[in-house]
Amino acid sequence: MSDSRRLGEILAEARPLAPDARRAYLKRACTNQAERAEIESLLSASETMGGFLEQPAAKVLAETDGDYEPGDRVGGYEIERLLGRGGSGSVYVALQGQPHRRVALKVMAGGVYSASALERFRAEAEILGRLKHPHVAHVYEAGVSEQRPFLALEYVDGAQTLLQYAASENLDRRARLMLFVSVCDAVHHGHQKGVIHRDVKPGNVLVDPAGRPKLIDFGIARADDGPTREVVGTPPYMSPEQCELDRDVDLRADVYALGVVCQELLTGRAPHRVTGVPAAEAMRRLREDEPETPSAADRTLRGDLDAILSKATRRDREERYPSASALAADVRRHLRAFPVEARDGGVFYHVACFARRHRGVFTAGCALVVVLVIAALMNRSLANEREQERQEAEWQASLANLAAATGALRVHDVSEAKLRLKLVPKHLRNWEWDHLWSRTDRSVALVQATRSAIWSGVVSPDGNLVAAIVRGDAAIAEQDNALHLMDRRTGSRRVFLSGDIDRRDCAAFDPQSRVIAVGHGSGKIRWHALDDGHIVRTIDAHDKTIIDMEFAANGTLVTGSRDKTAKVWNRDGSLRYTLTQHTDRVIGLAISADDTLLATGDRAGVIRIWNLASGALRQTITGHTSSVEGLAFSPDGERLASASRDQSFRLWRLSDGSMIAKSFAHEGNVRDVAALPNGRFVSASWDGTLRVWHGVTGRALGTLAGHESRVVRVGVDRTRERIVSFSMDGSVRFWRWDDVESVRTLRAHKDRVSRVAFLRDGTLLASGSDDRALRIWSLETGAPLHRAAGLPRLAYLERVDANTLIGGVGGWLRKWTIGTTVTHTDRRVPTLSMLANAFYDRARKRLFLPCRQRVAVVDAKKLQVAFSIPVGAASVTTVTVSTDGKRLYSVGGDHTLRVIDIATRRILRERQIGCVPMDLAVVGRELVVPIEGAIHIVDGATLATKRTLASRTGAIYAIAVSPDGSRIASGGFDRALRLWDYRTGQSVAVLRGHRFPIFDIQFSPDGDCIASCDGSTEDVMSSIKIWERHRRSS
Amino acid sequence: MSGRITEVLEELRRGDLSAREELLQLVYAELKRLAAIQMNDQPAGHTLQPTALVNEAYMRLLGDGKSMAWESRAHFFRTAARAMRSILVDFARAKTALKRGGKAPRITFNEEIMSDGALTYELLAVHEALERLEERDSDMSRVVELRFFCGLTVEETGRVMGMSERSVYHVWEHARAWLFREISR
Repeated sequence: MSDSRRLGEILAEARPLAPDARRAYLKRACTNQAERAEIESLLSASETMGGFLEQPAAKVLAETDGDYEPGDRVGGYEIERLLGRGGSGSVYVALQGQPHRRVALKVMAGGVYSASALERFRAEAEILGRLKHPHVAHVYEAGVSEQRPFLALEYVDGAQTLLQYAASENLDRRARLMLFVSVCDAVHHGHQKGVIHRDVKPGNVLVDPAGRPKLIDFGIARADDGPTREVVGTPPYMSPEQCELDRDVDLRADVYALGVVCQELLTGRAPHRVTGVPAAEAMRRLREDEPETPSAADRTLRGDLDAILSKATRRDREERYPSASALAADVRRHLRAFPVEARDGGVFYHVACFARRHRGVFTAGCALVVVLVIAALMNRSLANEREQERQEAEWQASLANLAAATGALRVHDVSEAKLRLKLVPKHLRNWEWDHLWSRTDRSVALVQATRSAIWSGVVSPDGNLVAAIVRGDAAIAEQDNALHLMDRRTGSRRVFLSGDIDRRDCAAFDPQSRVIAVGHGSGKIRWHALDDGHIVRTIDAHDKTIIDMEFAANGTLVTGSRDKTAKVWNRDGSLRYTLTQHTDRVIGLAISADDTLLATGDRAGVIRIWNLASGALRQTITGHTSSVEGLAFSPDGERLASASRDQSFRLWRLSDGSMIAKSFAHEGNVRDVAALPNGRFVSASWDGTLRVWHGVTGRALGTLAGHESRVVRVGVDRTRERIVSFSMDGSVRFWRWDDVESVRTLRAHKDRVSRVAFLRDGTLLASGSDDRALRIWSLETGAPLHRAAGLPRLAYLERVDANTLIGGVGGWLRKWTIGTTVTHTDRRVPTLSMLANAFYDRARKRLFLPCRQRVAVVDAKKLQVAFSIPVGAASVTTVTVSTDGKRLYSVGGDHTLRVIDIATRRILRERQIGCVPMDLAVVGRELVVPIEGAIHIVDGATLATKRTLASRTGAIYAIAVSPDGSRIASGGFDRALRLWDYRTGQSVAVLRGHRFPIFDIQFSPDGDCIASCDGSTEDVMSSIKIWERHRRSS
Repeated sequence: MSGRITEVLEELRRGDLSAREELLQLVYAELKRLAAIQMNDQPAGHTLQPTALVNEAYMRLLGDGKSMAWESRAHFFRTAARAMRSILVDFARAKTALKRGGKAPRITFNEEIMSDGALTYELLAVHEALERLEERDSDMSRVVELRFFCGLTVEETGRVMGMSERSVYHVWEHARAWLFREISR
């Protein structure tokens, strides 16, 4: 029996066995250790390969998968019947048990989905789940069943597609346009939530028997993974930019598709006729050919509709409507006979519209003078109106992009986030934009070495030189694979070796001379002089590819190869010894800082520790289930970190070979690891991120995101204290060792953190917690500087000035002075007992303390009650004061909001609001009041609601206003920190990260930083989060 | 031409291995011609049908082939699978404009128009990995060509390879795992 057949048989037999039985079986069945290692490696591959190669190659197209039969179960759904098939999967009608309902179940085509692809699918589905619009089919659930992602969608019974419905109901033009406007609204709703549909077409608009359209397949076409970009869409509805592989696609692609849909709905044909045309040709025509105008198909469409549809389907998206709502607005204007924006109509056009609207009044006898007067008046107001609409559309588009960027960052999709942020016009970039941007790339420097992929790289010991192996790319005139050399001192970059380089090659700088060694696929090592590249020496080192090489500080060179050996070479290029005990390719290599130990990792997942001088095997470490690709010793040589294709980072104790930590935080192969002189480790992964790990505990400390593709290597520049990373995105990035994230978490309190306050110019933060301690934190380092214990649970904590805080509860209050030491003064306020949210009026240095039915006014300097104000019959819980210091606002147990004149103590106005807000804030002459999960902006004098911030959230516990008054931050039960634009009242960002409800929010004095705190009773995970506008440059 | 191919197959059957290359060229040319016809005559969205193509090529080149010796038929199909692989790889390359380096764009069309799923990119990776597999084990690589590139069933593959279905299955599973590991490295 052939070897392949026998191994295949063992594989097939072993696969279904439980771990123990499998071990026993392999022991019996395998003839030697090498065979067993091979089988184990194949087994791990076969467990993750799913349906790999199951589909014949030619079925790369339309992957049919009608393999679910009625009665089959997918997730919690029972298949009833197949509804249809498409390129990306099949749709079934299925029954859900709980709640009992019929759903449309979309099952993605079988194939190989990586963990990160599935994660992105889930993230995407989560966003889809937030779409709630009467004209968008609702997404009930997203899940994965048998490795196939599926979506449960609202099922529209008896539905027809848009064109079918319009034809079968014989709709007139007006009815068709009304239907179309609803579709625009549905698309616009998606855009507001940051979702681009990408495949708007009549077939994706279902109309139920009552005539209600439902948009389906929102953004579902995206299950993209990794550095590639997809072309998604259906000709002829695809915009020209969608037909270009490398173009980013934004919401204006949907505007284009809507235009095409409308034209087809009105004329029966699309502007480009590409049905049945081969794809490449179809795409070329969409990109290059002039579209047919609506009036060419139907002369009665001349005028408004010609103009509207042409504007929607412009080849240059800058010329299109900026949003679906702008398109809808123009169609509505046409329906109401108002002048449409799309038409650069002259005076007579406007007058004609006016006449259409007022048919009875406008008779033919009008003098030209009248016409001109009307026109002059109209032009002015129209210009205004248009400008406002343009601004509104631009603003809506920006909100959509901000939401999408926030979503992308949550899954570390830096390139998507950047793309979305770049689409926000400069004048609309505010706090949230700066904050999100600072999270896209935390590297301190970047060398875009090339536009093609970097496969490997290495840093010279002094950090001055960086070498990268770059894949050749004919498209950008770099024909050959090459080794690029960058000099950090001069900033210069040159193609050092070209042609004789393979992507599998590796390189290492000789620490003792100006020479770089390159290990080749052929098994040769060549030493090149760094000045001119001439070959100093060549040796035939290995029988097969050299996978990695490493110099010891003393110049000894170690190589690992596909030929299953590692070799150690003397400085003169002579072989010192060969390590032959490996059973598989030697991939990862590391040498301890003192040059005494060598670590090797092989493809079977085994790590071996050798005495570097003698080549004696000291220790074998097993645990990884797939190849060990990167290794690093701790600076003291007591621990070893390993990176593996099994997607784990592990830390080992060398004294006994025990594992200290194992983490699967990376979402892809962990390709390399390096030790930092500060004792930490940094790992590089195919998931596009680097992660920093605690050197002793192996705890994850943070993520460095910024690369836009796989990170393949990581090195260290000791001179400049930088982490150096190499990525297939073609860049080399440099990161600070002690990188400060733009979102940080401060954790030390042992119970709910109830209050935070900034000190100094925002460099210190104070926090009060139910653990009865006040802590002072340095925001430069994130370190807790001071802890004062033994306090009551603070009900309030207010910043008095840069160095002074005031806080307390009940009849007790304390003033802290934060100098080089922290001192305090206490005061009993005998008459006060039930205190809640106090307010400090900084301008007048007065603290307003709620106390039963009164508000006590405390002089902050003397810490004495100056006077008190009666505020009604029930206990007051929350107060604030107008900017001029003249009016007091209060709410309390009687659910009544009051405004009181402080001088006369007179209640000026009252308003029943039906709840007790936990926080109040003043902006200018207005008051911000959270009422049952919605934020009301209330007139400061009349207390009438002027506007409500767009969406409802859970109960709100805290609100804060930015110093410039442009942003409101809110937080509460739903754990999200929300930012709102004060002027428009719209949500501009939803920042997630808190584990528990948020109890307090403060802006720093300069407005650059937000502190928010959360907590759960007696939970040590209670924390403070610091959200920065910019990355700190310190 | 049909005469020449019969001769080539006969030479092969007698053990003249030098005829291999010629057979491959003959079959490749014919398949490529048929594939072009099949793709051009059809609207977009049509899928290449390798099994049908190979059968048609067989009919055109060898008639009903009933007189054919078993080994010759097997030779023909193995060769055709190899040719089919080249054709599909050419096809994939052309489509993904591979000149642009490793970042082959994925082309996933929805619905009506051709969609070549996530596999286009993988297909080229499989092809490359298969070259490495060939060096190690020709049985495995042939089974992959017949199953994956030519779309034959386990049973058909068994007939062409002269193997039991069970063996084909084992070789196939081994090859799949091997290739998957190789590709995801």
